[in-house]
Amino acid sequence: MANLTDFLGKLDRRAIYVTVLLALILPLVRHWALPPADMQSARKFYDAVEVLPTDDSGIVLIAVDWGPGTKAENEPQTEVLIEHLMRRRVHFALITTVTEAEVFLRELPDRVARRLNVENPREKWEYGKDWVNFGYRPGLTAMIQKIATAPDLRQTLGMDARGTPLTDVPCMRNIKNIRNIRMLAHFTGLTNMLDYWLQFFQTSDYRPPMVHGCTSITIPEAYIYLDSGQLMGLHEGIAGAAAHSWLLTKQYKDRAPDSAIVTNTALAVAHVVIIVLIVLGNLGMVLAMRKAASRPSGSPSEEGNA
Amino acid sequence: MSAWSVALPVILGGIATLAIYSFLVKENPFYRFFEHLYIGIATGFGIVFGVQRFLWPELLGPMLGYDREVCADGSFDRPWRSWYLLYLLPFAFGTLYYFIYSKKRQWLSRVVIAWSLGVSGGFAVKGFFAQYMPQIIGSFKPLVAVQTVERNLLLSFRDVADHLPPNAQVAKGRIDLFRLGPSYVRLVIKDKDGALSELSGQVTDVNDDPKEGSLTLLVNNEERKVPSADIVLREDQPPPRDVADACEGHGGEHDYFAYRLLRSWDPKRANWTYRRHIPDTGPGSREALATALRAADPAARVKAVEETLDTRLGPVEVGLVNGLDPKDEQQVAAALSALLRWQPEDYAPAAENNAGIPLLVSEKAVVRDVYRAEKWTTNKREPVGVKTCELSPETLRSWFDRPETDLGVVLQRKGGAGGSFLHRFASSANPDAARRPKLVIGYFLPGEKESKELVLQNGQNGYSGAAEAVTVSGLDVPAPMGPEFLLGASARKVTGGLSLDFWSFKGMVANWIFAITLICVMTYFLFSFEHNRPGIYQASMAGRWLMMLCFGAFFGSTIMARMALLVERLQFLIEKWLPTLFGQG
Repeated sequence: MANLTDFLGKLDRRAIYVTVLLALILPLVRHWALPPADMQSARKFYDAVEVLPTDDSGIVLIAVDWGPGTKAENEPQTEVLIEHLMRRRVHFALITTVTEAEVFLRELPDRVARRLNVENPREKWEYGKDWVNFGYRPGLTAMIQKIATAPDLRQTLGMDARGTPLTDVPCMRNIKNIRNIRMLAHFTGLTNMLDYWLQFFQTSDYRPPMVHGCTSITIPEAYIYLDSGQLMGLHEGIAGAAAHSWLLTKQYKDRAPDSAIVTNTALAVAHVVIIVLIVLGNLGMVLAMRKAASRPSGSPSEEGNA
Repeated sequence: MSAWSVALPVILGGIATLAIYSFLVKENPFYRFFEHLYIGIATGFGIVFGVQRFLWPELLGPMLGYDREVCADGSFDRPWRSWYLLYLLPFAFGTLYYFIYSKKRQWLSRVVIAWSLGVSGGFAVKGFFAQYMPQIIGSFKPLVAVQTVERNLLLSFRDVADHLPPNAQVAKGRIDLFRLGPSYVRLVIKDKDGALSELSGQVTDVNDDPKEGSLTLLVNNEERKVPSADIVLREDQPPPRDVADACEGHGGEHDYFAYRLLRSWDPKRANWTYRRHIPDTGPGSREALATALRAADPAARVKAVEETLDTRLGPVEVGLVNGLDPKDEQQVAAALSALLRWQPEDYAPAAENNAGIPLLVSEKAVVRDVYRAEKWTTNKREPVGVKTCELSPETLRSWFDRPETDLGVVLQRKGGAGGSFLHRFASSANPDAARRPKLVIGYFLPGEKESKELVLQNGQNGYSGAAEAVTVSGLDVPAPMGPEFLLGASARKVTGGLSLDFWSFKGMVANWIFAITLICVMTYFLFSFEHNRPGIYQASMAGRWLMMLCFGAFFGSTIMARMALLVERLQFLIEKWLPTLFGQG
């Protein structure tokens, strides 16, 4: 017992850092894919996408308001939604109010389409027919209101990010105004950004159902909107994306684990290691206190070493 | 891509990251250089973006006429509009902001700032109500769970009943009886495995067996026992203004049951979203159809398509047939695939333009009256005979084969909401004559008087493009039976709220925690009286503890986010960067 107390008391903190690092790296190297926890908020998100009609008279608007700073969490969230929509053949449009996000508007759907094409060589997902990129749009609240109240979205927005008039984009053919937006999916790691969309993306008689993906930091803020019914579903950080991804895997058996599940697995392993370390740390402290208490008074305390 | 072109950006990124982190040790030139570099890049990026994405396309381009296309003969596609120069006024007003750098004329910038603040204030007032009112309303939650599981079930069905036609009845106090009257229902439901599907039909009775976790439904006079699952009702959709709007809002799907429901409901509550369950694999699936259409043997292909069609065309199905040459096998295949909402691989824009006119097909619909019209007028109708036939895929195909019809087919619910749809697509109001249907099918709902006859008329808003009308009456639509149609006991509304089950014990506990936390935290921050009084002291201390718990959760979330970022970077380095660097990517 004395050895254990000494060991825990003198454990070099760098050893802890290395242990946590290994716990993070090992699942990535070994490609572990543990099933994520079944999250009610993510399941709602999944259900909201599942019941979307698949005809071409509506579209899902995906607001990609994140950049490299929160890519780790927001990217898998956006990616899993795009994949879900593509699999269901629900048309969608991407838009951002954040300049750094523009590169992701191009890359993400292309990447998902390539992956799905590999999985289903007989089917095709193409830009223009399945999705459209509105690109970066400045103006924030004014822009959001402009879209919400536009009598003809195609005229208001003009062109897509590639410079093609939206009237010539096949999947925009039947899209006229906000009523044709079946759902708004918003992903961000920035505070207040969700508020703007909640506040202004509506008309007096129509508000599209809204789902949201946030970083772990902003989960507590986003939850209130889920609770009030303003959000139909929520991706809680990487765990939410992983839960959604897992539901997709259950539905599409040939689907390979994506980055959300792998990242979530690494996080889970690291968390277990951290919890074990916390328990060991506390154990060491208790043992040290006991040792100090059992020592005759006047001898130096070792409590500080714990 | 060379290894170095992959390696360099990541190495530079790593150096920049370490440089920024070096601030943790102490302020140093290495940190400052990269800090300034980052700010410089962000500023430059912002300026370019502002000019490229806003100033030029939205302001300067239109003002100078550079947003116009140049035609082959050198002319422009549209004239330059001088009133675009009015943009100069707000532009000039905005540039007053730069007077902030002038000591003498600084007041000019304050005008712009005041304007901005005023606009922001206006936005804030508008946004406040949109953002916070639902939360305030959502905060009023019951603190007493008033029912057991059985009561929960009853309330759930009451929720359902709230959305049913006025003649629907719920026997209060009796859990085993849920009477809908003569109405048809269509429920989007979710089974235990999470699969979504629908139940349609005339549900007349529901018997619940909580012990077995199942329900016995009397659907179309046939008893069906189904396992418990969730009923998903969508309340998030805005109320449709009227039935036509609702149907058009659902993509023009002329869904018989949806019509029935939407027409009967209170428009403010008619907010269902529905979809047909299409299997992902097996007969009738997209995959099966894709395989069928690629069969080498044309006869086998047609047979396979027909089989798929037969499987997929349930009692009601929505699709499109327009501008179709029945003798062109490829076109038929394409139309059928579109009918089944499958996009063929050789998707052609020409075929795409033909899309858009839905057709409702019912296997059991009886065609009784056929009118043939050469010149339809409002006052003159010429019945040409009575015909009774089964409206089936075969019937449909036989109609396609008629040389006199151009295979534009549209379905109109007679005297009902289909009118606006028909008006939109089929009447002379539609300038695209090629897309006007040549065959119009009207139908009645069960129990409706068959007095309303489909009138094709010439002239303004007339359906002059139609050469023929078929009246379908006496629809006898059976409920689709099968393992995928389930109705469950634990009904719930999808509102996205966590308080879905707030009537349950668990919900009650959550609501109590919420209320206690609210009171305690408010007490802690209420400094109008001393906190050392009995009760107040304990409440304020509890409030502090609860806040600390909350902050702990916040902090945990922060750690989670940072670790996720680290994992993502590690993942990138291990799975992409290193293999590419060493030639294995």
